[in-house]
Amino acid sequence: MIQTQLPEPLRAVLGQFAPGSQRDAVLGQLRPPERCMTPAALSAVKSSRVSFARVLGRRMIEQKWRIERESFVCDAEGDAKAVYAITIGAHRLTYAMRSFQWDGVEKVGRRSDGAVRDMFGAIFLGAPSPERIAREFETFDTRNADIMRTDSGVTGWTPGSRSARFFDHVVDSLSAGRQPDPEVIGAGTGYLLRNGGYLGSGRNGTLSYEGYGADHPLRHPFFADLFGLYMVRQASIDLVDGIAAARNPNAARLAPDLARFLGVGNSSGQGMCVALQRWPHWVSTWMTVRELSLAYAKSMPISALGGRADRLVELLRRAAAYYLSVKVQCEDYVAPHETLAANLLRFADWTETAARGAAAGSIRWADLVTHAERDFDPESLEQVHSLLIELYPDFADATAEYLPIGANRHRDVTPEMSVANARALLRRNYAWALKTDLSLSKTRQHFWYHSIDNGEQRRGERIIDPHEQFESFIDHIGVIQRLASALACHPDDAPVAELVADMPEMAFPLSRAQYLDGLPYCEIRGSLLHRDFIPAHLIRFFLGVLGMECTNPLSIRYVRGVFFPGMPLPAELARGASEDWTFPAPPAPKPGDDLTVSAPLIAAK
Amino acid sequence: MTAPPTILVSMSEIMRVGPWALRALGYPFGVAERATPLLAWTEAAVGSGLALLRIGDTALRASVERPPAVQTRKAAGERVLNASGRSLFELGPPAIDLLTADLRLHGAACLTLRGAIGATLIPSLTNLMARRGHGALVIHATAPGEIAVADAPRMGWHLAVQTTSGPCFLSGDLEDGAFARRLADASILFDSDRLSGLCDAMASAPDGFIGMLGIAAFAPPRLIDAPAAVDRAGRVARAYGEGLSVATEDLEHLYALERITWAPTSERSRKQAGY
Repeated sequence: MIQTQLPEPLRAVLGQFAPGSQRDAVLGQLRPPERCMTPAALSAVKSSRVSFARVLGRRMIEQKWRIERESFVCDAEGDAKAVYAITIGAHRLTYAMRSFQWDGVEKVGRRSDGAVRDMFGAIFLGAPSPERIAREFETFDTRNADIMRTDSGVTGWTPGSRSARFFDHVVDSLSAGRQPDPEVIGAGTGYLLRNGGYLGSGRNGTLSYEGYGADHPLRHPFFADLFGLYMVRQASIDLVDGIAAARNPNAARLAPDLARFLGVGNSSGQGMCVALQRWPHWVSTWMTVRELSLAYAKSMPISALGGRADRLVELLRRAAAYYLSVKVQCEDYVAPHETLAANLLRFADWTETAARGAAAGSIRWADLVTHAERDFDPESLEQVHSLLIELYPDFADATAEYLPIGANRHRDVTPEMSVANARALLRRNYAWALKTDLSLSKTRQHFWYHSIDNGEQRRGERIIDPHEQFESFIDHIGVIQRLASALACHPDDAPVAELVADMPEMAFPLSRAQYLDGLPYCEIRGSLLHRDFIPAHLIRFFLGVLGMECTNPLSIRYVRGVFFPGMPLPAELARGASEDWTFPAPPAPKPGDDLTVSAPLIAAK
Repeated sequence: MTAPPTILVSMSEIMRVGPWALRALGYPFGVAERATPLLAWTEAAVGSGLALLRIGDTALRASVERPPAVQTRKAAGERVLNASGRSLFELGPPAIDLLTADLRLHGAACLTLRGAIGATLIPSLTNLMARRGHGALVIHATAPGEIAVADAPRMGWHLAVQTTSGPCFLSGDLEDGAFARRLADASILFDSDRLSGLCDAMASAPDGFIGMLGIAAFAPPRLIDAPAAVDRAGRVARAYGEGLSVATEDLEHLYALERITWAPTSERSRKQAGY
């Protein structure tokens, strides 16, 4: 079934890279959705070469994005203002950062925090006047989410909060004239500031996605959000240097190897699950790109040592070392890092053995993966999958070109479709949903809603909790079943437009079924309303697709992790950096290293 | 008279908040989801979309409680939809669905929609047809209890047609005598019998009459320069790039509606946030 459902751009990629019978070999490796689209299976997905942060990072490196600090003023308590100029070919952006004096309170980074954050940043299109930037700083200084507004000259805001313990450790070390202990930084997943969302795509008056010029470098799904994260990471590095310099003129500067090891933290909650349900063609796009890249890799023969097998062994060992170096706060809901590392090293051993064997060329990666499917937990397996995708970068990069194309699918009712054909459509694509028994109370136990606490997404229990009438849409199985019932009440030959005129709310499931027809991997195979559904499963999936490392649920509804650990620093981007930056090793600082400084750090008077 | 204070809003902001605002007025999720693009497009291309929500708050809430719409198929490609006082947020898109289905299945489509409020949204309905690669001519007369948001003619017409240069939108006052001339300018092949029939039906019972004709044919590109042409697509594109200046009270009302859908907090609720 999957074989006939690849979107045309991906069929073209496949035709280019896998002509003739090889094409069928690749398609034969595609996993059926019932195996990889359950919430638990999606939870195990790890970031990969086709994740958005990796795609953006590659573009920043290839195009040598220039990020220059134009001004930076900071006092010893972290009250700071900074302006960065960003040049991307003929395009110019400006990042304005406002950091507030530390109030001693660690914020978890939830939407309910509103404007109570430790820093805000704004990405401007072009080079705004100093007066315009000053107005943005004044807006941030209100720290009042109800009145903070901007305009379409700003692509988005980047709120952030300190990871207090590690931020202080770094500042204290630098102030004392020494480098911080890498092991301490690693114990905090390796970040200083934790981003709490990206307020763009129209939020607070920011630029709409469709408002970017056709050739704008941020006109790509999630590029603005993730570039904002990269700038938060850079701001965090400059902040610790700036605060230390304000405290002690002889303070050390954060060594580049340490700075590069750092990522930017992120915390995300249940709202991400709702987004996945609202935009199933996004899910399809991401999963199809990933699964096709994986299928291609699995279909390829294992080469002798010296080729891709060596590369995989190196990646496996690097990833294992990274997992062992980073401590997460909670391992209650995930495979422990020790387990991941051990399994990656086992796969490395298998790879070496297979590559050394006389019949290396006759064994395919899929054969080794079969062993991993049998022996590994799902997370270890998905990490192996992600690294296999890395082995065939040309194919993965070609499929990743589909990410913006697939996201641009227009949803509409096809009103002339007959009722009989609509019924057949449901039987073809939603048999699994129609067979789901929703009559038991546990199957619909939860509803999700927005709270008056800044609209934060929360989960309630039917009957017990209030505001069920305004529940967020997450019940894709229920609406499909209701549509099936409605279709049963209309004549076969009637156009579905008649059904919609009788029941206007049915346009939603109808258009969903119609516009997704032919797309693989679009629907999550599980009910989010079910008593046993774990929101963290889908939050982790979304974050993994975005490119987060170490997705770590602190509870079943809340996930933390880190973006861009190891990503080249601005000065390295400008010079020309390697794209092979993932899974950085904890550094051993070298005295005298100094990168990134394009304007002196200026302590506030 | 002093102009009301204004504020910049982005198109995506309306698209994000709109569904919740409409749900606060009583529309079910599926209707609110579909109506929001009408709201945003109307604000950008016509103006007064958000004002419709504020000024029409009470009327829209009441419309949700009205009896269900009743559809009648009179002949192949000819239908009547009695809206029973419900709004175009709810019944506008289904009416366009019927028009589209008939146009695609029968080559001709004529629909009479009676008793709907929210005529401000009519141009956005013609845009729905344009997005589907078709065109539509709509004539309408004000309904009793209509929500008065702007200076709109008592009887008006709206036309969306495809040209090789993209969709073109024209509109005007049915009572200014230029309607026939504008249509002649447009050089579009209408089903003149059905258009006459719609005009006659409206003349005999104008209150809350909306007549729609589906148009399959392309019109010449010169139509874009016609006197009644409005660059609605350009306005929408600019709104995406530059945002929209709207009355502050309208945006505040949009957000106030959204907040109605937010549940009160409690210790139990906060625990459900996850951390």
